Amino acid sequence: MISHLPFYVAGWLLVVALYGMATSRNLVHLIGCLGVVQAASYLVLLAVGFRWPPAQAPIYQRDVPLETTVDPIVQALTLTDIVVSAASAALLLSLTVQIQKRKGTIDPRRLLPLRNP
Amino acid sequence: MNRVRTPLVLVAAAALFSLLVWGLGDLPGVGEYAGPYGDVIIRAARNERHVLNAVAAVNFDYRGFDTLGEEFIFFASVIGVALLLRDENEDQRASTRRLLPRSTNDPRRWMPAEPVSLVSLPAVGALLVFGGYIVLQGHLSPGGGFQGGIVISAVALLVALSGGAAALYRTLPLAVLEFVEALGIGSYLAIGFCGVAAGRPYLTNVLPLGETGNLLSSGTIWAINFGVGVAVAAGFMLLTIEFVEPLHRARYRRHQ
Repeated sequence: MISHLPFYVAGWLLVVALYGMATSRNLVHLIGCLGVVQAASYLVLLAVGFRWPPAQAPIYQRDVPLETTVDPIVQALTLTDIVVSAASAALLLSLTVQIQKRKGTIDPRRLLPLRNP
Repeated sequence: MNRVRTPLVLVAAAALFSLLVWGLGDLPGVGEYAGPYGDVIIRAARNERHVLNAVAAVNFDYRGFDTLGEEFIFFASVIGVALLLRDENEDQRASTRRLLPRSTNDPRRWMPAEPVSLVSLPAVGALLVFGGYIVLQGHLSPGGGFQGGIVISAVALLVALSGGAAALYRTLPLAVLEFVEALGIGSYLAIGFCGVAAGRPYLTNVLPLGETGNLLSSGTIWAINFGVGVAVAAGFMLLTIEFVEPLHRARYRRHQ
């Protein structure tokens, strides 16, 4: 149970963030929730490649045997994940700016019906 | 509507969570790393690629093609933000330029509180040095182009904070940033073709590998890392400016 705790925390983050997205009343808050969903994926990736004990960074140093470092591949994947999440957040925030300008609101519930302008 | 939706979401979330607990519970425990790939990379990277940071070797060499795709996702997002925000920004930028205050006693002049200038202006130099250090040492220590580029791009925020839109136009012209951004991403594409020119597959590490631990070592890894740092710094500065500039424009208009 304890050895799987990071996985369960990641699942909990995903579920909580999805709840936040579904009940959101503000698009900026919704984009924040999307960031939490992505945080869950970072946690799963890092947990998959973790080695304990002793967890050493995948940087070559003197006196650190290679068998004790964590997996560098999942760390590189997490880096990719973070950059993509920052890029998508920027794009979504600029869409939010446009929605505020066109519709005068960023509450998804008041944006729901697609009406003729 | 709301009375139906919230219980529905709660039930679905509970179901998804139990499914995740059931599925993730069968994975090997955290810490009992068994997968062969990380060990293979850790054993091979220092001898094959002369790097000290195995993550940089994965990002810019073993998975170099994926990172190229990631760079283009980032590039597409910067273009998307510019397209969405700039149709209006572009029209109004010329008129904003005319509005820019010329004399120091103009009431529209952006005058931050003195402590803000006192902290943010010296921080510009410190950030440039620190960000440049993180970019250049990417293959030797934790860090790299993405991380250092973000640190450098915070300069745009500090400039906006201490000088407003006028200082942004003067020190970080959009045309220059766009060119630098394209140059950074173009260098990644071009370095990939070095491998093709040498008769090997695209993105093969064909540059001299150098001595492990030196600044100029690890072949294409440090070159790509540097290009990514340039592209990320310029790209995030562009994003910052597109978002910050309209705020200042609104301020000038209020004072008209």
